[in-house]
Amino acid sequence: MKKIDAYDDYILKIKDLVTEIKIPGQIIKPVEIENFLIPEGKIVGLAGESGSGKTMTAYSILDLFPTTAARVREGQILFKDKDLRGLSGNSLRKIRGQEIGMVFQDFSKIFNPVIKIGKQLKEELTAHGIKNQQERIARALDEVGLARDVADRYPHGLSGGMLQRVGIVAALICNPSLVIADEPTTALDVTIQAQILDLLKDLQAEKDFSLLLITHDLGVIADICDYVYIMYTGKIVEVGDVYEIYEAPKHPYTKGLLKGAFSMQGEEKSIKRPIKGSIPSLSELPQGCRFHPRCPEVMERCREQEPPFFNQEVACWLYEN
Amino acid sequence: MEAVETKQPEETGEELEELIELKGVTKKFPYDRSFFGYKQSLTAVNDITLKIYPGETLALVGESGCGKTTTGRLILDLEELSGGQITYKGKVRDDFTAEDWQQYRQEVQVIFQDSNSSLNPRKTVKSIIRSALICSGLYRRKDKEKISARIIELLNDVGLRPPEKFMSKYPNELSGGQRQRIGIARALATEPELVVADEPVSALDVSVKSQVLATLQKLQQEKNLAYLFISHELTIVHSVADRIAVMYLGKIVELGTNKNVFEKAIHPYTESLISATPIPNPRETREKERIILKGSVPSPKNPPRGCYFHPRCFYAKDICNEKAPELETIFPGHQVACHFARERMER
Repeated sequence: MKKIDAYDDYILKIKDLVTEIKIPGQIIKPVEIENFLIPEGKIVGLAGESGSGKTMTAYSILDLFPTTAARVREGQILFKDKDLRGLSGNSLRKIRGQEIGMVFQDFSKIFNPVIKIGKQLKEELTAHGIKNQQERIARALDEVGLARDVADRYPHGLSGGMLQRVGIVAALICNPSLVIADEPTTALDVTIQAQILDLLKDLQAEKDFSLLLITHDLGVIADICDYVYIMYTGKIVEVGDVYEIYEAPKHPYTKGLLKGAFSMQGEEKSIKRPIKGSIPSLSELPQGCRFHPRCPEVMERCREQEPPFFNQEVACWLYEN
Repeated sequence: MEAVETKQPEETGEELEELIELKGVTKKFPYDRSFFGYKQSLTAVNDITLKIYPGETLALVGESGCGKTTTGRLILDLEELSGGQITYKGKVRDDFTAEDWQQYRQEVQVIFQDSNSSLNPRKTVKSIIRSALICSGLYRRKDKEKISARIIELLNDVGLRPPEKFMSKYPNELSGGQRQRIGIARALATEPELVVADEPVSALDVSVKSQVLATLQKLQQEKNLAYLFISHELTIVHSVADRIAVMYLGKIVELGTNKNVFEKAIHPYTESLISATPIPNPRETREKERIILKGSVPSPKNPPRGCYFHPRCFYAKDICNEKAPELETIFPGHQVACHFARERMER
């Protein structure tokens, strides 16, 4: 497959994005992304451990921060070549839901527990001025394999897997061209996870939207993504075609993640060599390369200078040439 | 990569003395309360029989709500049995004297999933572990120096170095991985022989997960600990277990050695669990044949007739709707509850 920066059309381009959160006494930057691309009609994964800034990246795109202490400080977020940052609240609200859909991890916290599913979906359609609501909802429920009477039920009456399907309906009902799915299967059991991943894959192939899949699970990325970004402490450390990254990872962090990944293969009862240490706090980031204290291939230079992104592939001094 | 010799007690033929035995263990929870008491009950754990041998890791896997945690809590005596019996070191728990219980509580310990809620936020690491030492009856309150020395030893054992640095910390000052290690240190404080580890690494990040698992494995070798390792993640179970018991809706559907369960799963549920788990390799995970089960786990309040798995099973025939299969030994060391176990073994 061609490199991620070799396409003509991108649904989303992020340039020099910095997001900041004010905490007492200081300002931390959970996201510092120089370049992030989603080609049209592709599935792009964003992987990293907790606290790496994956979810904050999604919030930055849609300006959906859960707290007023967080904001995008600088950078461009180009959706169909239009900068989302320059938009007023109203025009952004039109894009959210209608042009960019979002699938959350836990929909039991997203849906209103005292309003029937059908009514909540109608609200969304009304907000975006869409007619033929009844018919549209029925069709959307069919597509995700739910019975039409689900519309007459309350969120708490549905199982986790069913509710996730309803969430997918809510994200897709306005036919968005980009869907952001933040850990869409993390809260689900493995047999249900397989159903939901299959569904997302099928719907994407059928409707040809672009999908940004955020997850910590390298197995899920391997399963459905075309490209993957690896994130560490707010920065992208590596990007590439899924097959290439899994077969020949470049960044020592990616190597460690994949080597330590649990896979049901190899010898039973043997634990693979983990990456030492743990992810540093954003308020106490190390000098130089942020990964250097944990890196098995650390060099003198890594301790002092932060590596730039080499060859549009990897941020590591090992690949300077 | 460090491999550990896999024990296969039932395959070697020699009679190993089991540490604990569960026989027909059942737990029912009442619900639907009315003025006259509870009207109905659901069976969370349904007639479970298994043994755990000294020094082995028995993993209990299954999806949420299958009763794996309840089984752990029954062993820990945090829930009362509704039926069946538990035998520890040859003695039935019903006949335990007060001293036996004291010994049992000291030798059977627990590591919880959520170290956030299982460690008292207002106590220091030192006092958390100290109370475990004193409660176990192994140390007296006035042996201050002995207790301190033991706490340092324990913190060292679980990889919190230098231990002095951690003694006066509060749980909120520690990272998730460090907190989980405190939980392990507390469990080890009483010199247990069996540790029930309930999803001990599920809340942790990938890199921290393997670090904590490596510590658990090292401690097992040093102290000949037996683990009942409760988890919903098959990938993790594969890297820690000697034997695996797969549960579905309160019942064990398959039990065998790690190798046998993963290489030739007999029960259709086990097979689909394994096939549904994505592996971190795009080529293999996309090429492998995947069984996608229909629907979700039924409610234990209203389980299906016959074999509990039959409405979702791709192998179901008429008999599955009529008769519940028994857990049978298909070959030495491997038990399966499926009418077609023998037929499926020939696959």
